[in-house]
Amino acid sequence: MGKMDIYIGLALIILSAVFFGLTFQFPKQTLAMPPTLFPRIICLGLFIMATILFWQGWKKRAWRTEIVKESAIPWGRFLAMIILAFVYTRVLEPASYILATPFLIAGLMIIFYEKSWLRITTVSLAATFFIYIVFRIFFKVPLPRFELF
Amino acid sequence: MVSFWAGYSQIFSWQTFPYLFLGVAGGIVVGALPGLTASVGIILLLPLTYQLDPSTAMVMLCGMFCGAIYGGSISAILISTPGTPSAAATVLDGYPLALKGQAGKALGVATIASTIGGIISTFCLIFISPQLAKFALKFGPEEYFALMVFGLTIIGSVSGKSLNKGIIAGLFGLLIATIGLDPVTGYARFSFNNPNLMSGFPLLPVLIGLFAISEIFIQLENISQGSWKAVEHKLGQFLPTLQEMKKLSPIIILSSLLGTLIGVIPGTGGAIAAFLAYNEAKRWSKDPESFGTGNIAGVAAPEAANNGTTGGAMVPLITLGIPGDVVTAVMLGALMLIGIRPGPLMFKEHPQVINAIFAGMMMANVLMLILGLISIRFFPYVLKLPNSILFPIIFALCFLGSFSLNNSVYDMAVALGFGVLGYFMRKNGFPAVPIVLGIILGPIAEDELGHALLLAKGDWRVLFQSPLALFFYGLAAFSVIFSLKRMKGLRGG
Repeated sequence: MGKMDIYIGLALIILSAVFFGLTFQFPKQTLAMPPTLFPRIICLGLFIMATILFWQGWKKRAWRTEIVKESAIPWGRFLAMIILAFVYTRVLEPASYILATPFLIAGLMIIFYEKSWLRITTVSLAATFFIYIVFRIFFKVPLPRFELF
Repeated sequence: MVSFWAGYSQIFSWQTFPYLFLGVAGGIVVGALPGLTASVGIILLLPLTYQLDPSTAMVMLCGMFCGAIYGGSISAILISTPGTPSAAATVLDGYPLALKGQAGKALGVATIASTIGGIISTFCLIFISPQLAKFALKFGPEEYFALMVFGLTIIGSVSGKSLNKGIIAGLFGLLIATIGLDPVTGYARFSFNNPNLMSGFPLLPVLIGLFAISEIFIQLENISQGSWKAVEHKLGQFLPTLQEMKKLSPIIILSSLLGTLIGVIPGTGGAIAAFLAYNEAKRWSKDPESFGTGNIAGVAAPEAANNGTTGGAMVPLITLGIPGDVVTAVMLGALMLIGIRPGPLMFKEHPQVINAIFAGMMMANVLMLILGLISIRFFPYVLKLPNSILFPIIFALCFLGSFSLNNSVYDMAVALGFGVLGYFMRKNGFPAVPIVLGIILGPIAEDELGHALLLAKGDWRVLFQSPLALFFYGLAAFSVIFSLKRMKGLRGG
């Protein structure tokens, strides 16, 4: 994790410095506690801790001689899941809940290694209906642009 | 005025009881499924509960809390995989018992011990919390600020292997909490003229993203490596004999009390209590060698202790507004979402919610016993539910849950964003709980600091003049030292 600690530490150092800089745009006022105080204390703390993380990562990197294999992330499926979820947020309102959700669930089932098309079809339709019943009928929580009954 | 009986009459009404039942039953299923913890269960319920009245919502969440902590023992016993971190100690003797064909008995003892643990801890909650709240009513803003500082030091206890990463996560949460309107001046900080950022990040999508969606990403990775096992044992008989129960009773009662005590201490939790109780049961046993090979006391002790923490962890939450463990940190967010700020004023302003929590916790444990014993035969089928069905449905529930709070697609994007962030943080050893603590406790701390300084006309010495505030700073310092020592111990092996 040494290499990742260096990158994350560096990113957090930049983030805290940028946020600290942004506090200078806040209006000056004479109240007991200005709006800049809390964010500046936090940014300063984050800057210090991120520097320590960077330093720890750097030390680990220098000592490490053998390559340690990290657990494999299924990148393709991971990205597919994010894209699918993002597309769902875009089509949910225009297409309505009842039309968009079966595709989301079916897509997710494929990403989660489901191979049976019969199961994908029945589960995605049944789950869409089940969620509708739970949200809309049982708990009276509104869903986008569609009322089945 | 707190009235236990008023709470009972409420939870037995038709408007509330079905929700308690659903909470407990759902909690048992969520706890039994590896990868779904009590925190995830509570977060899944949140979008649904904010439409209910606060008392019913809290009863349902308490049911989920108790049910999930018990449910963790099911997969621990049947497939040697704790459903929740609290059930990790139950694996040690539960799974060997299952291998011997006594899974049913292990599940029966786990059910009884969990129920007794939960009931004893609820009694303690009922007797301790009103007294503590009465005392806490005397707090002014400077004492509250000191209390929030102490609350934030819990970050050290939930930081896992790296204190530095835990503190960074906490500071990151605090930084996120500063986005939006400043509580004293009303100036919109770090909002970049974006109207969505004016009120900061919405809490529910952040919780859903950090805990539930990131967990689904982690499960995707686990499934690709094929980590779940199948249930292949016979259950055998369910109930222990009277003689066995007589032998187990002192262990269960002492473990329950130990669990309650551990639960009251902020920043601890069920896993610590369960391992401590297991060690104590082993230490006092006449046959310590049999522990780890299938001793039924090795199931009773951790299960009584982990459910013992449920009532204990609620004490600091409802009396002081600081979480006792990871699950109550999420519960703290749940209370805020349903419009209640936990703390001593809750006893004055929302006594009906307090009554409902007391009666609900008690009844949740009774229901847990009934449901647990009836459904032991069906537990193996719950664990056979394919991941390719379970996690897509949970993802859809999470996603729609984040939409439903404000009917906003922006909230769904926030949940997805924090899900990805939470996943990469967890992959790199950054815990998610400190972020939530920072987001929830940060604004309260800033608000109280602002009030204290306004009342003292900007004199900072006011923060160190109250003996109670100094007491909380002392506790905070102790908590930090304790965390540092724990880290040193972890590194030393």
